[in-house]
Amino acid sequence: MAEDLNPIQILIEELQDEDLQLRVNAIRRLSTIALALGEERTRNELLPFLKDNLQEEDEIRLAVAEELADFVPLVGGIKHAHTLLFPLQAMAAVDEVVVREKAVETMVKVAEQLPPVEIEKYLVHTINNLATGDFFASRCSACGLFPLAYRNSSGGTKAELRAMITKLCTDETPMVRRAAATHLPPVIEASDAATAKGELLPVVARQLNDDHDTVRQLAVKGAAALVKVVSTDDAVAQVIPLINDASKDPSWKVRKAVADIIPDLQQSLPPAVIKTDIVFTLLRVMKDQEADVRSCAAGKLATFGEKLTPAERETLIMTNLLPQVSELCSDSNQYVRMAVATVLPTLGPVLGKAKTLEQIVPLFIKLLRDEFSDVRLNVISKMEALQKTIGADQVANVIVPELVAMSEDPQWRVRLAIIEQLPSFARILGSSKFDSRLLPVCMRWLMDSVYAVRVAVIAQFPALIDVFGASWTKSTLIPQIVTLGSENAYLARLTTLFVINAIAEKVAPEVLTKHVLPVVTKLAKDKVPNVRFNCARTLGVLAKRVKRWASPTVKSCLDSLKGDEDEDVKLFAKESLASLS
Amino acid sequence: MAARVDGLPEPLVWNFSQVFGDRVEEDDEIADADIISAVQFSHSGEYLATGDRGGRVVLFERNQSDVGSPAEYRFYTEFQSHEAEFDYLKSMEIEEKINQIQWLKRCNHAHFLLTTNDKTVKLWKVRERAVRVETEHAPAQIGKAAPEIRVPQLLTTQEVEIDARAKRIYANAHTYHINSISVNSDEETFLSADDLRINLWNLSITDQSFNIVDMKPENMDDLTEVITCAEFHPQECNVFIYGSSRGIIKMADMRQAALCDSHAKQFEITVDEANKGFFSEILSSIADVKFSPDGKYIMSRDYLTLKIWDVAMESRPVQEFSLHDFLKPKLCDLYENDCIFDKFEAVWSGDGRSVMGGSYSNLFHVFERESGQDVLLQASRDAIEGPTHVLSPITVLTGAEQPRSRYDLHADQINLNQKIMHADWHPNRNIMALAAVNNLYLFRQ
Amino acid sequence: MSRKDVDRWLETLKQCKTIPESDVFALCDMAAEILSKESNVQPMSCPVTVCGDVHGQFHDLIELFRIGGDLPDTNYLFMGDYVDRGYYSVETVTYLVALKVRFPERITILRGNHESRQITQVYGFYDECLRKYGTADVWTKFTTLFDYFPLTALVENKIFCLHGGLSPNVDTLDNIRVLDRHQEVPHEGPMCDLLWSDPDDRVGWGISPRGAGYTFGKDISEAFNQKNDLQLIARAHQLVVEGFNWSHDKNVVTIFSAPNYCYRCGNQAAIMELDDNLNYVFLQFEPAPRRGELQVTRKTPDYFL
Repeated sequence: MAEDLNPIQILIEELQDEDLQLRVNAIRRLSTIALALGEERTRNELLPFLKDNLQEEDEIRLAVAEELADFVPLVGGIKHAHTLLFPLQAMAAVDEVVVREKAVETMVKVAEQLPPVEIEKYLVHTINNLATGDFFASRCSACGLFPLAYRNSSGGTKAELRAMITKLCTDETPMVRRAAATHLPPVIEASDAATAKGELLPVVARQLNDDHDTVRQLAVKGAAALVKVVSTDDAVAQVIPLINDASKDPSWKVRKAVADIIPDLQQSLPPAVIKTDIVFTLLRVMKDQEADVRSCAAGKLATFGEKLTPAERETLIMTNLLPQVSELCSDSNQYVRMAVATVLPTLGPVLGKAKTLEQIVPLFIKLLRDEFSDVRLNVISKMEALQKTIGADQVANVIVPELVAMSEDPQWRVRLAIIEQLPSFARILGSSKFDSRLLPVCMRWLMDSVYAVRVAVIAQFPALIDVFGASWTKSTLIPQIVTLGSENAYLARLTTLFVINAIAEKVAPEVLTKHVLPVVTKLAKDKVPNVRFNCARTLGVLAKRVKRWASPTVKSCLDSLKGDEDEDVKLFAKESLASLS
Repeated sequence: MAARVDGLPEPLVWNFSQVFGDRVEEDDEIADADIISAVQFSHSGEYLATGDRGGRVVLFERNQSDVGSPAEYRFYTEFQSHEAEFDYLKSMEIEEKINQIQWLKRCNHAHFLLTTNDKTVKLWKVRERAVRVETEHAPAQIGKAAPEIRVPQLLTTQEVEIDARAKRIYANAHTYHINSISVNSDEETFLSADDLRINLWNLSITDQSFNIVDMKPENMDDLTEVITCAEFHPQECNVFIYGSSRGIIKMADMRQAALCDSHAKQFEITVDEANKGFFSEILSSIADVKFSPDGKYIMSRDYLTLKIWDVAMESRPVQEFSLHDFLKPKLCDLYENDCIFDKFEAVWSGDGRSVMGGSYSNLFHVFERESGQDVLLQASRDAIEGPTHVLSPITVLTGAEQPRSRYDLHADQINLNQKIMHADWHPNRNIMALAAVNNLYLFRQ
Repeated sequence: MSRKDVDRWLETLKQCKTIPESDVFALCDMAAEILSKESNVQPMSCPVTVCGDVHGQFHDLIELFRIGGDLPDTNYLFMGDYVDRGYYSVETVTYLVALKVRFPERITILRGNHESRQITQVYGFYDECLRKYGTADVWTKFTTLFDYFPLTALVENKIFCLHGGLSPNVDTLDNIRVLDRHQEVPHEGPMCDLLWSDPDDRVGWGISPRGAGYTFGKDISEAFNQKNDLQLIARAHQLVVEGFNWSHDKNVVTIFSAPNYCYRCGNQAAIMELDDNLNYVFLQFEPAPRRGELQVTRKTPDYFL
């Protein structure tokens, strides 16, 4: 049939194809179909077709839900945007969570484009349909729509929505109660203080007594939202006690949730309350019997400290919290030590140089020596903050010896982590300290038994050149590389070429010509073909960088490699030669 | 329970309702694949699932029509849940046998079930879909330069097809054989237990599993105990129990710690060393543990008894029912032929007032907990009396006593191949489903 | 098919993804041409890195290259057993064969006892091909290619490398050179023994508990090395906890390159680096930290928090 030749018609046919992938692909081009059909037919024919076709595989539904997000202009703009809500509503009731969440997400995206009046009109209707659904899937989905609808509704509708979400908060299905608890905080935040206190505080209080740990866990966030909205007095009198109770909940998950909201509380409450209430809550969760709670609490320390005044830091952190931090550094659970390892170096800027040296550095060193490699990894990766606080001399005297000791860590991934920190050490230490303490270590890493370590340290050389500049490169680095190239070990010869390859761009042409090129041409006669073809490669790189008078040397060297007995040497030589012309 | 005028409770009367599966004569060879290995009612009781050694799962639905008994079920659908596999890592055959089936609460019109064999748990989605057909094409508009694009219109027909598909597969998490799966009341997680470990899963995540109990000793020579069964509390999402081969039931509280290697409660009868016999340990091994529907009691099944424990009392059970004491003189034979290791399930009635336990020769006991009444019945096409298909109680005779009626059975005639190991009780009606070899029996009160 | 195609396949395979069936066919044809020219005792020069069993543990093979270096900069000798048991036999063997085609001078891949039609039908490769390609055609193609794999290699005429071990029917390397290897691994005879035998503490020849090949004692290894002017026999085939293991007074070394074999054995893996003066160093390694398959963890996963 002639009409079937129409590409749009073919796409439409593919929407029903047997092959799932074809169908998904066709759906990915839904907007093309809609554009061809025009706004009216998209509304009247395509959307109903999609809705009917939705008892499909989840992949299809997910794709449709995703595509519809951009459909507002295709159905005729804001005026008709609500027509999109119907197929999405159907998808919001399916069993697959991913589809449901995508449908809700798209509904929110679509509704966001509507003026408040329209949101109130259509979204509230949709919420109502979903919230009264027979199966819990649709009731769960309803919860995700509340924040947007609530923000955009007038007083009366707001009350109606509050009544609905309050009802969902006591739904018989824990899944629904969880969904409601998840989306209640933004509703609380969009309420005025009186409503929050009068209507929503009791809801949160009830949630905090739910049978299900996971509901109580989410309710803790609701409590944090309440603290934001209600007056300080009300917060202290009514909400903080709830949070304190939650910090003693029999379930460790709830207690962890309390640790999680501590930075939020700090933001919403005046310093006086922090000092009297919150710091003790933090201390309690830091001492929790469950490792996950302790690690989470430890993770909040730096943000907690940042927001305190210097005087408060002295009293609160030094006196109250630091002894506990020190405990956590020797925690029996490795995951707690891993968590404290990431946060400990960041305490430096909060506490200042003297205190850091006195209190933090010893703990830091302890963690650097931890038996568990992931702890060592974590503490190394956050080293820079600490370096800045204590300054070059102290880094050189205290940290660098540790680092040198660790440069032979049996775990090669730990060695790798240290290597990644090299540029930051270079910046702090300056060239003379770096050359005497760390450069020898770098040269040792170049001969590491693990290839990935060698490659990693090579990759840091350009950055080191950036830090120390041209004269350092010429007088310090290059001589070391030249020495390496004359070593007996085949690995040293090969590595030399790798280094030259990596730094050629950063080295001055005259240095390359005078010092580096002779190394390469000598290695081009090496007995090992792998060394020779790496010369061929390196010569290709050098050719573009050396002084013009050296070009014939490069070319003749490559010409002779072109005639090598080894196929790979020939090939690389040819490639480099080709790149010359 | 209804009470008679004289104050004594009504006798427990059970009626035969239905049987599925081929009739088998005493000497018939039954295909191993047809032997039922799991029976489970859905949460509403409207559906019933069975699994067999052939890896198949069959679903039945309750007859909704006015005619016929309310206890009647009809075939709904069947699917192949597991296939026999070869474990390349351990060089061994993995049977397709379904060890357990668990229904999820319904979240929409589809049904979801977890099924497991020794190694792999699968989440099945079973749904009805209305067959839709495209309505007649609108005739192409003649004379138009560019032919009109046509969007097909779909019409829903009366026809329905049932489609079952494995939605998720939770594989490779168990080194040993999975004996239990249990869905949590939070409807988001489930546990799977093997001989030495219990793993916690999120239903929507298949590539990570959280090992919450690990009983594996450093040195396997120190192994004294294995996990035999595990179950979540019906309401409290943080509590689960597991039974062990040493006759211990442990209760863990996930609120106390993320890892549950140390238990919160331990239910165990302390036996005097002097009273221990050769078979004591085998006999006390927990074959199954089940929370009562209200979560206040735990029932454990060992080889010879059902024991009811009060969750608040760990030292001894509050009730104990004997199932087949007539086997006691035959323990040596039962050890020889491995029957002593048979794992019978423990079954609560939906209201928690009665319990049921299976035996051999297709016999099973129903105990009424309050009165202590005990009735021994037989799942048999022959043990039926009268037009209402009343099941006649069976008496097992021992010693010189000889059977006088067809409802008498001598202990020497017990058929050890006919075991009622798997059964379930409708959650809110007095309907029981029992697997008797390759037959599924349904009885009603 | 050009070098570009092979590079493209390598790129795909490196991410542990399969290449289309038609590409596998083209690859195998190219490989057959290269491999058919190799000797039963393929001569090799040093430096070279010698590796043992990989068994479909693709992510650990990538870890091996992280430790030992990439091709073509590092030369490799693999001593068989690329397929079966692990979850990624298809990706592993395709990757190694593609490397062979791309850098024929830089890598040698010997035949292991698992590179056989019969064994792969039992231990996973066959089923994996079926699962990943829908038909057994890829399996047929690969097992046909396996017949072309060389049986042994000889590094600088001094180090004799093979999958299994010695055979009572093989006194000299020339005995091996004359074998017709283009066939399914037989149930007995020299070709079978080279792929199946194991060194043993007992002297002389012994019956292998594996049901194929023999066990051979120190006397046998010493005599063989002396007669053929060899320094060492390097072989794979057996799980060794440290990844490498000396036996027969350093006449024989076993190298095993699948860490935590079968994802549960807890063993280290190793490779043997021979430098340009035949000095050796063993590099041990552990499983790659991230792998595609399921993780059973004792740390609370994020989704439970």
